[in-house]
Amino acid sequence: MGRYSGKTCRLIFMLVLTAGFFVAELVSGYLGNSIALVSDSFNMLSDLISLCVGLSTGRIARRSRRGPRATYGYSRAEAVGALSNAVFLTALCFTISVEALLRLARPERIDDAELVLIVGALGLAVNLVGLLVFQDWAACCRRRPTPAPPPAAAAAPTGGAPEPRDAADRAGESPNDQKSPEEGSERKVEKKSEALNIRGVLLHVMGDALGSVVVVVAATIFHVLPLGPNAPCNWQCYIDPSLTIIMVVIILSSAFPLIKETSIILLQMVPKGVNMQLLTDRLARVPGVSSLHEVHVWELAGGKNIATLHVKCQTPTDYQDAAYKIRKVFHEAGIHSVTIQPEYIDHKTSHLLCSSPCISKACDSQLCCSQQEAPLAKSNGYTEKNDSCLSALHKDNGSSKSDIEIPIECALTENSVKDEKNCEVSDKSQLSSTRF
Amino acid sequence: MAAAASAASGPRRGRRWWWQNRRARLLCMLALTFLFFVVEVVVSRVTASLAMLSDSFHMLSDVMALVVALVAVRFAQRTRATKKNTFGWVRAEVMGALVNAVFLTALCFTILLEAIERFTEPHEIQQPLVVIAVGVAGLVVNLLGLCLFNHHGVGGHGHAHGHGHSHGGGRHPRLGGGAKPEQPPGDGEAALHREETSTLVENCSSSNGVSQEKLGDMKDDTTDLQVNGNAGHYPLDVEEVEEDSSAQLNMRGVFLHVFGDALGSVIVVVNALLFYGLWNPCPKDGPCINPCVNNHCMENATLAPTLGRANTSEQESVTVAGPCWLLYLDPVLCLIMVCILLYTTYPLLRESALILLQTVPKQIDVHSLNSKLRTLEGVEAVHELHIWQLAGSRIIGTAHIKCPDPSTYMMVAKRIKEIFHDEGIHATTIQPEFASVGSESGRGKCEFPCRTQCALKQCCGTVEDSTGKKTEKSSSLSISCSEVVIEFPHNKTRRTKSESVPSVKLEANTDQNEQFESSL
Repeated sequence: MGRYSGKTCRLIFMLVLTAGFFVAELVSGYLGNSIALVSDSFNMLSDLISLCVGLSTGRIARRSRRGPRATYGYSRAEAVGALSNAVFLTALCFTISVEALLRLARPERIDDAELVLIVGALGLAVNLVGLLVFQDWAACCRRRPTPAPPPAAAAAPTGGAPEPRDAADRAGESPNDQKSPEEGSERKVEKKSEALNIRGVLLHVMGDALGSVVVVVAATIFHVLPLGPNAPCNWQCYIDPSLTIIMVVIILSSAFPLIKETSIILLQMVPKGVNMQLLTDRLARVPGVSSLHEVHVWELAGGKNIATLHVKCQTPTDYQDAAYKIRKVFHEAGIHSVTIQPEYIDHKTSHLLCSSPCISKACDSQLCCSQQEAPLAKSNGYTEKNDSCLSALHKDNGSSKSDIEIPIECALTENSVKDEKNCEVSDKSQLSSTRF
Repeated sequence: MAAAASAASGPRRGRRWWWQNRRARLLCMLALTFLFFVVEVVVSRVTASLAMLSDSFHMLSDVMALVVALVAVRFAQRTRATKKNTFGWVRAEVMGALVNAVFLTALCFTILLEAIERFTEPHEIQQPLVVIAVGVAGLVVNLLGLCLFNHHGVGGHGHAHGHGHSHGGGRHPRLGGGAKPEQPPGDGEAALHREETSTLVENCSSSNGVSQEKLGDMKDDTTDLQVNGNAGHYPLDVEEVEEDSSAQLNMRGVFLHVFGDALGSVIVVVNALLFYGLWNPCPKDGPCINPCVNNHCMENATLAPTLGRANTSEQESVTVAGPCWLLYLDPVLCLIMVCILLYTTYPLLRESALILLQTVPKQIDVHSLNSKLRTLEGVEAVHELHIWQLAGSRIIGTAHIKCPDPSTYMMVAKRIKEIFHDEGIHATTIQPEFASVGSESGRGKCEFPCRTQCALKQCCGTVEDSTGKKTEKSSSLSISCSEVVIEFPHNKTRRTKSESVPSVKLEANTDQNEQFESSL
């Protein structure tokens, strides 16, 4: 994309440099019989691969738009790329640690310490250059010039903290100012998804740098205190593998957070800044809403949160009024793409918690979340009358947020009482609830 | 149809055993592999064979893959929504499959590097008999694992996909029948459903008599579809019982790991056998020329005078180490194995990545779905149509449907759901939008976007119109979202498109600070 045109040369340069150095390190590693150097060269190669993966997924994510094959576009490619890089790195760490353990069991000496030292130092230099290049790249995204520093965007969250009221006040400003919030938020959004992708590559480069450090240290020791050609291995031979194991531990400890973060996105988990309990409570308080169910919130990629829900209202008028307020609640939570499905209750079906989402119950196994619960003996008893309060019901010890029945008018203090009663779902009423 | 359902359901006990079998298989293989790893380590220490030790760590990688798959299976059983994950954890298996596939690719990469290393420095196998023995044992373990997971590995290609929903009711015979162990009272089910549609009919037909026949048609169709289903209560192990395609993906990942390991064992055994049979080793005593291994050390120095002497007098007693090509057999076979593994891993990688990217499943054509929806009477426009696969056969769809008024929407709502159902999309969220009066040009625009400055944070907030059919919410400033409040008259009079709507009242939004303005 045009935004990064200046960086392509740098990346190609980085690629070429890394490739050339990989070959050099490999050759000298075998000549010098240094396992650290050989593994470091393999790290370079893995670095190359991770760079390619990171770049290609970044390009896919930026370039592709919505299409018939992917209705959300491919913006998630960066998360997948970051996960792949992290898992790749973990696997490499595993093999490196295996080799280090083997070396501990059968220590070998570094033969040509000077050569290894020189090449190791050069490798370290290359890795540092790489780190600088990527830091610069990541920083360059932040420093893209904007017409006016957007105060709203500065407060605009990437993860979804509640949007401050300032944004609402500022909404009445002149149109000229509204360019900057857009660009600012765009910047933040881009930066966050970029960050995930780049972090995967940075992790590899950092691991590489650490490997080079280990090589340099081990080679220095062998150079300064050389072992005779026939002398048995002393403590010096154990430096290399033990430092390698420490390095593996460091790399893994920084890879796992990345894996966790990408998992949050890829597993459709609730994004970090969103509190489901709070959100559903607020939604429940919107006038006109009788109940909610099938509330789903997830992060697409890079700070874009999406939500869908079904609301039950008494009349279409209620729905119209409530729809806007529901969106406002979501907007304040940082979720800007919301799809609301209204369902209307009539007297026969008012006490229902769930309506049959698809047209037949046979589809239940293919719903995103099963509507079926274990059959319940007692009714919830709260429902039929219009005046009575419906207290908040939670399924499964409060662990499920998919179905909530909320009071229409009564005090919401009962929300805090988490009833463990489940609703009675009778088949007949469930079937007949599919009217909109 | 009822017979088909009963035949397909089978005994409930059988299902539960099968589910347990998946986890049990993983655990069993895990125990076996770990045991073998320990055995290999011990043997390698006894025989001081480094090659065996490094080979044992391949088993350890197998163990890790199995652990990943197990964790994914454990997670994926929790299909209920939780605070952290509103969809439940069904997707964990897809992620487990992706992690295993990437892990396997990384291992292939390291094997490749080892093979290259062997090319430059060929090693002799020190004790071929021991290696053969352990290799055969490892092969047996791996073959056992292959048998355990074979069902998934071979048939793993899009098995649970593409079931077009015909109105014959033969949909998902395995899933539909198997997941509902209780006998469906087929007639009762159909009767219930007819009652449901009749409810619809009596409420809607009074408002719009046009759709009576439509509903009548729908009744028959849905009755057919219902027969395979089950009105009874669903036991809690419904999710556990199904062998969803996501579970298949997960098992495929494990299968590929075990397959790779088996190939490795085969290579070890073949190599050791050939070595044992054909290799002419250097005897422990006496001079020996080993032309294959260039130890860049002392041997060259000592060999030269030996050669000189040998040439003159002791020509016969110098042994030359065996055929050199044997030393290169191992890396060549490894290369072939890596190619095979990568070739078989790539489809798994691709499939799981596509699911995680929320792409449209292969069997669904979004264009035709879109056109089907739009050709419905009462639907003016469709936008924000998103279809994606959660995991396995759970496909989720959302759409915004623009209708002229709510009663029209009520009529078509069921048809819309049916269209989605026919495509296999059962979890849908349909947002009806009612066109603001007089805004013909605003047909394509979403009536309820978030505020303009949020446009870039929306899932699809770009200006481009990729397909031409769906118009995006424009991020330009000229959007004015109309909030239309329609009041219904107390008697539900007919409301058709051609009629004017005298009772529509448009209210200006009270909060002027918001971005929305109302227009008439």
